[in-house]
Amino acid sequence: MISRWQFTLLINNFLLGTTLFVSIQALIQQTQQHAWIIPLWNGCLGLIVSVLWILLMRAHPGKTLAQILQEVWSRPVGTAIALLYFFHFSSIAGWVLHNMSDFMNGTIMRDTPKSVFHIMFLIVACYTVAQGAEGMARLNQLVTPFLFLPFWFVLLLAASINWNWERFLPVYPNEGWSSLFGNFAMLGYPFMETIALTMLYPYVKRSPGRAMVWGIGMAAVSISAILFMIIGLMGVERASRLTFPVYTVVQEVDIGETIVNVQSIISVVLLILIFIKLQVLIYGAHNVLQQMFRPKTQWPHLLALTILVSALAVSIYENGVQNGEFIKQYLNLYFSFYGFFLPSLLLLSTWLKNAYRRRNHGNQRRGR
Amino acid sequence: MLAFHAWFVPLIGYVVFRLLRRRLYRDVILFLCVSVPGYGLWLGIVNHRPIIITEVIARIMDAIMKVFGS
Repeated sequence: MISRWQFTLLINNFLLGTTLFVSIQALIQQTQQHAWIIPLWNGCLGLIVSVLWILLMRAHPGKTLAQILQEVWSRPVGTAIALLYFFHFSSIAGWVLHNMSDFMNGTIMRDTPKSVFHIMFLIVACYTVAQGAEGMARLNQLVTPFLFLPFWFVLLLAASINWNWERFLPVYPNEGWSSLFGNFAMLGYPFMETIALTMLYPYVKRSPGRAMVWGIGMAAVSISAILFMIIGLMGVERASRLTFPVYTVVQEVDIGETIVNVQSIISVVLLILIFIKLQVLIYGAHNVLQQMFRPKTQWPHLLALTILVSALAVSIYENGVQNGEFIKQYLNLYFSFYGFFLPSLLLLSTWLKNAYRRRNHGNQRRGR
Repeated sequence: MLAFHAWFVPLIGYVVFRLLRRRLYRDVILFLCVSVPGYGLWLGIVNHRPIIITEVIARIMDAIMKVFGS
Protein backbone atom coordinates (compact mmCIF):
# COMPACT_ATOMS: atom_id res chain seq x y z
CA MET A 1 0.00 0.00 0.00
CA ILE A 2 1.04 3.61 -0.67
CA SER A 3 0.68 6.41 1.87
CA ARG A 4 -1.22 9.60 1.08
CA TRP A 5 1.95 11.69 1.12
CA GLN A 6 3.73 9.29 -1.26
CA PHE A 7 0.81 9.52 -3.69
CA THR A 8 0.82 13.34 -3.48
CA LEU A 9 4.55 13.44 -4.26
CA LEU A 10 4.12 10.98 -7.10
CA ILE A 11 1.43 13.15 -8.72
CA ASN A 12 3.46 16.31 -8.19
CA ASN A 13 6.63 14.86 -9.75
CA PHE A 14 4.63 13.20 -12.54
CA LEU A 15 3.16 16.57 -13.51
CA LEU A 16 6.48 18.39 -13.34
CA GLY A 17 8.12 15.66 -15.47
CA THR A 18 8.55 16.95 -19.00
CA THR A 19 6.51 20.13 -18.50
CA LEU A 20 9.68 22.03 -17.63
CA PHE A 21 11.15 21.30 -21.09
CA VAL A 22 8.24 21.38 -23.44
CA SER A 23 5.63 23.97 -22.65
CA ILE A 24 7.56 26.82 -21.04
CA GLN A 25 8.95 28.49 -24.16
CA ALA A 26 5.69 28.30 -26.14
CA LEU A 27 3.67 29.51 -23.17
CA ILE A 28 5.86 32.57 -22.64
CA GLN A 29 5.64 33.30 -26.37
CA GLN A 30 1.82 33.22 -26.21
CA THR A 31 1.10 35.00 -22.94
CA GLN A 32 4.24 37.10 -22.45
CA GLN A 33 4.97 38.28 -18.89
CA HIS A 34 1.67 36.81 -17.63
CA ALA A 35 2.61 33.21 -18.50
CA TRP A 36 2.91 32.32 -14.82
CA ILE A 37 -0.88 32.77 -14.39
CA ILE A 38 -1.71 30.00 -16.91
CA PRO A 39 -0.50 27.02 -14.79
CA LEU A 40 -2.57 28.31 -11.84
CA TRP A 41 -5.68 28.80 -13.99
CA ASN A 42 -5.29 25.52 -15.89
CA GLY A 43 -4.40 23.78 -12.62
CA CYS A 44 -7.77 24.89 -11.21
CA LEU A 45 -9.50 23.35 -14.23
CA GLY A 46 -7.35 20.23 -13.81
CA LEU A 47 -8.59 20.02 -10.21
CA ILE A 48 -12.21 20.15 -11.41
CA VAL A 49 -11.50 17.29 -13.85
CA SER A 50 -9.74 15.34 -11.11
CA VAL A 51 -12.92 15.57 -8.97
CA LEU A 52 -14.63 13.63 -11.77
CA TRP A 53 -12.00 10.87 -11.52
CA ILE A 54 -12.26 10.86 -7.72
CA LEU A 55 -16.06 10.43 -7.92
CA LEU A 56 -15.57 7.59 -10.39
CA MET A 57 -12.98 5.83 -8.23
CA ARG A 58 -15.15 6.30 -5.11
CA ALA A 59 -18.07 4.66 -6.88
CA HIS A 60 -15.86 1.58 -7.45
CA PRO A 61 -13.68 1.21 -4.34
CA GLY A 62 -10.57 -0.96 -4.70
CA LYS A 63 -10.71 -1.02 -8.50
CA THR A 64 -8.41 0.54 -11.07
CA LEU A 65 -9.62 2.37 -14.18
CA ALA A 66 -9.20 -0.75 -16.34
CA GLN A 67 -11.21 -2.90 -13.92
CA ILE A 68 -13.97 -0.27 -13.71
CA LEU A 69 -14.22 -0.25 -17.50
CA GLN A 70 -14.85 -4.00 -17.51
CA GLU A 71 -17.30 -3.84 -14.63
CA VAL A 72 -19.43 -1.04 -16.07
CA TRP A 73 -19.30 -1.69 -19.81
CA SER A 74 -19.05 -5.53 -19.86
CA ARG A 75 -15.92 -7.52 -20.60
CA PRO A 76 -15.63 -7.13 -24.42
CA VAL A 77 -16.39 -3.39 -24.56
CA GLY A 78 -14.39 -2.71 -21.38
CA THR A 79 -11.38 -4.58 -22.79
CA ALA A 80 -11.55 -2.63 -26.07
CA ILE A 81 -11.62 0.73 -24.26
CA ALA A 82 -8.92 -0.43 -21.84
CA LEU A 83 -6.73 -1.21 -24.87
CA LEU A 84 -7.24 2.40 -25.98
CA TYR A 85 -5.96 3.47 -22.57
CA PHE A 86 -3.03 1.06 -22.99
CA PHE A 87 -2.17 2.80 -26.27
CA HIS A 88 -2.65 6.21 -24.64
CA PHE A 89 -0.26 5.46 -21.76
CA SER A 90 2.28 3.86 -24.11
CA SER A 91 2.19 6.78 -26.53
CA ILE A 92 2.63 9.34 -23.71
CA ALA A 93 5.59 7.24 -22.49
CA GLY A 94 7.00 7.44 -26.04
CA TRP A 95 6.44 11.19 -26.04
CA VAL A 96 8.21 11.59 -22.70
CA LEU A 97 11.19 9.60 -23.98
CA HIS A 98 11.39 11.61 -27.21
CA ASN A 99 11.31 14.89 -25.22
CA MET A 100 14.04 13.58 -22.94
CA SER A 101 16.31 12.51 -25.80
CA ASP A 102 15.74 15.89 -27.52
CA PHE A 103 16.91 17.58 -24.32
CA MET A 104 19.96 15.31 -24.00
CA ASN A 105 20.93 15.78 -27.65
CA GLY A 106 20.40 19.53 -27.39
CA THR A 107 22.44 20.08 -24.25
CA ILE A 108 24.89 17.48 -22.94
CA MET A 109 25.26 14.45 -25.22
CA ARG A 110 24.94 15.75 -28.75
CA ASP A 111 26.08 12.71 -30.73
CA THR A 112 24.50 9.84 -28.80
CA PRO A 113 21.66 8.18 -30.76
CA LYS A 114 18.23 8.84 -29.27
CA SER A 115 17.36 5.15 -29.00
CA VAL A 116 20.25 4.61 -26.58
CA PHE A 117 18.56 6.95 -24.07
CA HIS A 118 15.14 5.43 -24.76
CA ILE A 119 16.19 1.83 -24.19
CA MET A 120 18.31 2.61 -21.12
CA PHE A 121 15.46 4.50 -19.45
CA LEU A 122 12.94 1.83 -20.42
CA ILE A 123 14.98 -1.03 -18.95
CA VAL A 124 15.31 0.74 -15.59
CA ALA A 125 11.64 1.81 -15.63
CA CYS A 126 10.53 -1.79 -16.36
CA TYR A 127 12.68 -3.06 -13.50
CA THR A 128 11.07 -0.52 -11.11
CA VAL A 129 7.58 -1.40 -12.35
CA ALA A 130 8.30 -5.10 -11.76
CA GLN A 131 8.99 -4.24 -8.09
CA GLY A 132 5.40 -2.99 -7.73
CA ALA A 133 3.60 0.20 -6.76
CA GLU A 134 5.11 0.37 -3.28
CA GLY A 135 8.67 0.31 -4.61
CA MET A 136 7.86 3.07 -7.07
CA ALA A 137 6.24 5.28 -4.43
CA ARG A 138 9.08 4.75 -1.95
CA LEU A 139 11.73 5.50 -4.56
CA ASN A 140 9.90 8.69 -5.45
CA GLN A 141 9.59 9.71 -1.81
CA LEU A 142 13.29 9.05 -1.27
CA VAL A 143 14.50 11.13 -4.22
CA THR A 144 12.08 14.07 -3.90
CA PRO A 145 14.09 16.05 -1.27
CA PHE A 146 17.20 15.59 -3.45
CA LEU A 147 15.27 17.06 -6.37
CA PHE A 148 13.44 19.85 -4.58
CA LEU A 149 16.32 21.37 -2.60
CA PRO A 150 19.04 21.52 -5.31
CA PHE A 151 16.53 22.68 -7.94
CA TRP A 152 15.29 25.66 -5.93
CA PHE A 153 18.75 26.38 -4.52
CA VAL A 154 20.19 26.67 -8.03
CA LEU A 155 17.27 28.81 -9.26
CA LEU A 156 17.55 31.13 -6.24
CA LEU A 157 21.28 31.36 -6.86
CA ALA A 158 20.52 32.52 -10.40
CA ALA A 159 17.89 34.93 -9.05
CA SER A 160 20.44 36.54 -6.75
CA ILE A 161 22.38 37.72 -9.84
CA ASN A 162 19.98 38.48 -12.69
CA TRP A 163 16.58 39.30 -11.18
CA ASN A 164 14.70 42.30 -12.56
CA TRP A 165 11.12 43.18 -11.55
CA GLU A 166 10.71 45.40 -14.62
CA ARG A 167 10.46 42.28 -16.75
CA PHE A 168 6.91 41.83 -15.44
CA LEU A 169 5.75 45.22 -16.70
CA PRO A 170 3.18 46.18 -17.85
CA VAL A 171 1.11 44.24 -15.33
CA TYR A 172 -2.18 44.30 -17.24
CA PRO A 173 -2.25 42.43 -20.57
CA ASN A 174 -3.11 44.51 -23.65
CA GLU A 175 -5.87 42.15 -24.80
CA GLY A 176 -7.45 42.04 -21.34
CA TRP A 177 -7.76 39.27 -18.81
CA SER A 178 -10.26 37.38 -20.97
CA SER A 179 -7.46 36.28 -23.34
CA LEU A 180 -5.52 34.89 -20.39
CA PHE A 181 -8.47 33.00 -18.95
CA GLY A 182 -9.40 31.72 -22.40
CA ASN A 183 -6.00 30.03 -22.63
CA PHE A 184 -6.07 26.28 -21.97
CA ALA A 185 -2.52 25.52 -23.16
CA MET A 186 -1.68 23.46 -20.08
CA LEU A 187 -4.99 21.72 -19.44
CA GLY A 188 -4.49 18.70 -21.70
CA TYR A 189 -0.76 18.54 -21.18
CA PRO A 190 0.16 18.04 -18.37
CA PHE A 191 -2.96 18.14 -16.17
CA MET A 192 -5.15 15.60 -18.00
CA GLU A 193 -2.28 13.12 -18.25
CA THR A 194 -2.80 12.54 -14.50
CA ILE A 195 -5.49 10.00 -15.49
CA ALA A 196 -2.56 7.50 -15.61
CA LEU A 197 -2.34 7.75 -11.81
CA THR A 198 -5.85 6.32 -11.42
CA MET A 199 -4.10 2.96 -12.00
CA LEU A 200 -2.41 3.51 -8.61
CA TYR A 201 -5.45 5.00 -6.86
CA PRO A 202 -6.71 1.77 -5.18
CA TYR A 203 -3.32 1.15 -3.58
CA VAL A 204 -3.42 4.37 -1.52
CA LYS A 205 -4.11 3.71 2.17
CA ARG A 206 -6.33 6.63 3.17
CA SER A 207 -8.18 9.42 1.33
CA PRO A 208 -6.44 9.13 -2.07
CA GLY A 209 -8.79 11.79 -3.46
CA ARG A 210 -7.38 14.41 -1.14
CA ALA A 211 -3.84 13.32 -2.08
CA MET A 212 -4.71 13.72 -5.76
CA VAL A 213 -6.08 17.24 -5.25
CA TRP A 214 -3.01 18.23 -3.20
CA GLY A 215 -0.63 16.75 -5.78
CA ILE A 216 -2.23 18.62 -8.70
CA GLY A 217 -2.41 21.84 -6.66
CA MET A 218 1.25 21.60 -5.62
CA ALA A 219 2.34 20.95 -9.20
CA ALA A 220 0.33 23.92 -10.53
CA VAL A 221 1.92 26.24 -7.97
CA SER A 222 5.42 24.82 -8.67
CA ILE A 223 5.11 25.24 -12.46
CA SER A 224 3.78 28.77 -11.95
CA ALA A 225 6.68 29.63 -9.60
CA ILE A 226 9.24 28.28 -12.09
CA LEU A 227 7.69 30.34 -14.91
CA PHE A 228 7.71 33.40 -12.65
CA MET A 229 11.42 32.87 -11.96
CA ILE A 230 12.26 32.42 -15.64
CA ILE A 231 10.43 35.60 -16.65
CA GLY A 232 12.06 37.56 -13.82
CA LEU A 233 15.50 36.22 -14.71
CA MET A 234 15.47 36.29 -18.51
CA GLY A 235 12.61 38.46 -19.66
CA VAL A 236 9.97 37.51 -22.19
CA GLU A 237 12.00 38.23 -25.33
CA ARG A 238 14.87 35.87 -24.47
CA ALA A 239 12.89 33.12 -22.76
CA SER A 240 10.49 32.76 -25.69
CA ARG A 241 13.40 32.21 -28.13
CA LEU A 242 15.30 29.57 -26.18
CA THR A 243 14.58 25.85 -26.50
CA PHE A 244 15.22 25.02 -22.82
CA PRO A 245 14.96 28.26 -20.79
CA VAL A 246 15.24 26.48 -17.39
CA TYR A 247 18.58 25.01 -18.42
CA THR A 248 19.92 28.27 -19.86
CA VAL A 249 18.92 30.29 -16.76
CA VAL A 250 21.07 28.08 -14.59
CA GLN A 251 23.86 27.76 -17.18
CA GLU A 252 24.56 31.46 -16.82
CA VAL A 253 25.21 31.29 -13.06
CA ASP A 254 28.79 32.31 -12.39
CA ILE A 255 29.66 33.45 -8.89
CA GLY A 256 33.30 34.52 -8.43
CA GLU A 257 34.46 31.83 -10.88
CA THR A 258 33.94 29.24 -8.12
CA ILE A 259 30.25 28.35 -8.54
CA VAL A 260 30.05 27.56 -12.26
CA ASN A 261 28.50 24.84 -14.47
CA VAL A 262 25.64 24.28 -12.04
CA GLN A 263 23.44 23.33 -15.00
CA SER A 264 24.52 19.73 -14.46
CA ILE A 265 22.43 19.76 -11.24
CA ILE A 266 19.37 20.87 -13.19
CA SER A 267 20.01 18.17 -15.82
CA VAL A 268 20.08 15.43 -13.19
CA VAL A 269 16.94 16.78 -11.49
CA LEU A 270 15.08 16.94 -14.80
CA LEU A 271 16.19 13.45 -15.83
CA ILE A 272 14.97 11.97 -12.53
CA LEU A 273 11.63 13.77 -12.87
CA ILE A 274 11.26 12.34 -16.36
CA PHE A 275 12.13 8.88 -15.09
CA ILE A 276 9.38 9.14 -12.44
CA LYS A 277 6.85 10.13 -15.09
CA LEU A 278 7.99 7.31 -17.36
CA GLN A 279 7.73 4.65 -14.67
CA VAL A 280 4.16 5.70 -13.78
CA LEU A 281 3.16 5.49 -17.45
CA ILE A 282 4.83 2.11 -17.94
CA TYR A 283 3.15 0.90 -14.74
CA GLY A 284 -0.22 2.08 -16.09
CA ALA A 285 0.24 0.40 -19.48
CA HIS A 286 1.59 -2.83 -17.95
CA ASN A 287 -1.20 -3.02 -15.37
CA VAL A 288 -3.87 -2.56 -18.02
CA LEU A 289 -2.47 -5.66 -19.75
CA GLN A 290 -2.16 -7.60 -16.49
CA GLN A 291 -5.70 -6.81 -15.37
CA MET A 292 -7.33 -7.36 -18.75
CA PHE A 293 -5.66 -10.60 -19.81
CA ARG A 294 -4.29 -11.99 -16.51
CA PRO A 295 -1.06 -13.51 -17.90
CA LYS A 296 0.96 -15.78 -15.58
CA THR A 297 4.32 -14.14 -16.31
CA GLN A 298 5.47 -10.56 -16.02
CA TRP A 299 8.87 -10.10 -17.68
CA PRO A 300 7.99 -11.17 -21.24
CA HIS A 301 5.27 -8.50 -21.31
CA LEU A 302 7.60 -5.85 -19.94
CA LEU A 303 10.04 -6.79 -22.70
CA ALA A 304 7.25 -6.51 -25.29
CA LEU A 305 6.33 -3.12 -23.83
CA THR A 306 9.97 -2.02 -24.11
CA ILE A 307 10.00 -2.98 -27.81
CA LEU A 308 6.72 -1.14 -28.44
CA VAL A 309 7.47 2.02 -26.43
CA SER A 310 11.03 2.32 -27.80
CA ALA A 311 9.52 2.28 -31.31
CA LEU A 312 6.79 4.76 -30.33
CA ALA A 313 9.44 7.04 -28.83
CA VAL A 314 11.22 7.35 -32.19
CA SER A 315 8.08 7.71 -34.28
CA ILE A 316 5.78 9.73 -32.00
CA TYR A 317 6.61 13.01 -33.77
CA GLU A 318 8.87 14.03 -36.61
CA ASN A 319 10.42 17.23 -35.25
CA GLY A 320 9.80 20.06 -32.82
CA VAL A 321 7.78 22.11 -35.33
CA GLN A 322 5.37 19.25 -36.11
CA ASN A 323 5.09 18.45 -32.38
CA GLY A 324 4.32 22.11 -31.62
CA GLU A 325 1.62 22.19 -34.30
CA PHE A 326 0.03 19.01 -32.95
CA ILE A 327 0.09 20.37 -29.38
CA LYS A 328 -1.49 23.64 -30.50
CA GLN A 329 -4.23 22.15 -32.70
CA TYR A 330 -5.15 18.72 -31.37
CA LEU A 331 -3.62 17.91 -27.99
CA ASN A 332 -6.31 19.36 -25.69
CA LEU A 333 -9.06 17.63 -27.65
CA TYR A 334 -7.15 14.34 -27.83
CA PHE A 335 -6.33 14.28 -24.10
CA SER A 336 -9.88 15.39 -23.21
CA PHE A 337 -11.19 12.24 -24.86
CA TYR A 338 -9.23 10.09 -22.38
CA GLY A 339 -9.22 12.47 -19.43
CA PHE A 340 -12.73 13.90 -19.54
CA PHE A 341 -15.06 12.30 -22.11
CA LEU A 342 -14.54 8.59 -21.29
CA PRO A 343 -14.44 9.06 -17.47
CA SER A 344 -17.62 11.22 -17.65
CA LEU A 345 -19.38 8.56 -19.71
CA LEU A 346 -18.17 5.91 -17.28
CA LEU A 347 -19.43 7.86 -14.26
CA LEU A 348 -22.79 8.48 -15.95
CA SER A 349 -23.11 4.75 -16.77
CA THR A 350 -22.28 3.89 -13.14
CA TRP A 351 -24.94 6.27 -11.78
CA LEU A 352 -27.56 5.01 -14.25
CA LYS A 353 -26.72 1.39 -13.43
CA ASN A 354 -26.95 2.04 -9.68
CA ALA A 355 -30.26 3.90 -10.07
CA TYR A 356 -31.67 1.05 -12.18
CA ARG A 357 -30.53 -1.51 -9.60
CA ARG A 358 -32.06 0.46 -6.73
CA ARG A 359 -35.34 0.77 -8.62
CA ASN A 360 -35.41 -2.94 -9.43
CA HIS A 361 -34.57 -3.81 -5.84
CA GLY A 362 -37.41 -1.55 -4.61
CA ASN A 363 -39.91 -3.14 -7.06
CA GLN A 364 -38.91 -6.66 -5.93
CA ARG A 365 -39.48 -5.71 -2.24
CA ARG A 366 -42.90 -4.23 -3.02
CA GLY A 367 -43.78 -7.40 -5.01
CA ARG A 368 -43.11 -9.55 -1.97
CA MET B 1 18.21 -4.31 -42.46
CA LEU B 2 19.71 -7.75 -41.92
CA ALA B 3 21.18 -6.62 -38.59
CA PHE B 4 17.74 -5.39 -37.53
CA HIS B 5 16.13 -8.79 -38.21
CA ALA B 6 19.13 -10.55 -36.66
CA TRP B 7 18.46 -8.66 -33.40
CA PHE B 8 14.71 -8.87 -33.27
CA VAL B 9 13.77 -12.30 -34.59
CA PRO B 10 15.94 -14.29 -32.11
CA LEU B 11 14.83 -12.03 -29.24
CA ILE B 12 11.12 -12.50 -29.90
CA GLY B 13 11.62 -16.13 -30.99
CA TYR B 14 13.47 -17.03 -27.79
CA VAL B 15 10.77 -15.57 -25.51
CA VAL B 16 8.00 -17.29 -27.51
CA PHE B 17 9.91 -20.60 -27.35
CA ARG B 18 10.35 -20.29 -23.55
CA LEU B 19 6.68 -19.49 -23.03
CA LEU B 20 5.51 -22.29 -25.35
CA ARG B 21 7.68 -24.79 -23.49
CA ARG B 22 5.90 -23.84 -20.26
CA ARG B 23 2.54 -24.09 -22.15
CA LEU B 24 1.60 -20.49 -21.35
CA TYR B 25 -0.41 -19.98 -24.53
CA ARG B 26 -2.26 -16.88 -23.33
CA ASP B 27 1.08 -15.27 -22.44
CA VAL B 28 2.44 -16.11 -25.91
CA ILE B 29 -0.53 -14.44 -27.62
CA LEU B 30 -0.31 -11.37 -25.38
CA PHE B 31 3.46 -11.10 -25.88
CA LEU B 32 3.09 -11.29 -29.65
CA CYS B 33 0.16 -8.83 -29.69
CA VAL B 34 2.33 -6.19 -27.99
CA SER B 35 5.75 -6.91 -29.49
CA VAL B 36 4.72 -7.43 -33.16
CA PRO B 37 3.28 -3.88 -33.53
CA GLY B 38 6.53 -2.65 -31.97
CA TYR B 39 8.45 -4.74 -34.50
CA GLY B 40 6.36 -3.22 -37.31
CA LEU B 41 7.02 0.31 -36.10
CA TRP B 42 10.75 -0.42 -35.86
CA LEU B 43 10.69 -1.82 -39.41
CA GLY B 44 9.34 1.53 -40.66
CA ILE B 45 12.02 3.39 -38.71
CA VAL B 46 14.82 1.20 -40.10
CA ASN B 47 13.47 1.71 -43.65
CA HIS B 48 13.50 5.51 -43.09
CA ARG B 49 9.73 5.60 -43.52
CA PRO B 50 8.46 5.81 -39.93
CA ILE B 51 4.75 5.98 -39.19
CA ILE B 52 4.45 9.31 -37.36
CA ILE B 53 1.97 8.58 -34.57
CA THR B 54 0.83 12.16 -33.95
CA GLU B 55 0.14 12.58 -37.69
CA VAL B 56 -2.00 9.44 -37.66
CA ILE B 57 -3.88 10.69 -34.56
CA ALA B 58 -4.39 14.11 -36.22
CA ARG B 59 -5.81 12.44 -39.35
CA ILE B 60 -8.18 10.29 -37.28
CA MET B 61 -9.34 13.36 -35.33
CA ASP B 62 -9.86 15.35 -38.55
CA ALA B 63 -11.94 12.50 -39.96
CA ILE B 64 -14.05 12.31 -36.78
CA MET B 65 -14.55 16.08 -36.76
CA LYS B 66 -15.62 15.94 -40.42
CA VAL B 67 -18.20 13.26 -39.58
CA PHE B 68 -19.63 15.44 -36.81
CA GLY B 69 -19.55 18.44 -39.13
CA SER B 70 -17.32 20.81 -37.14
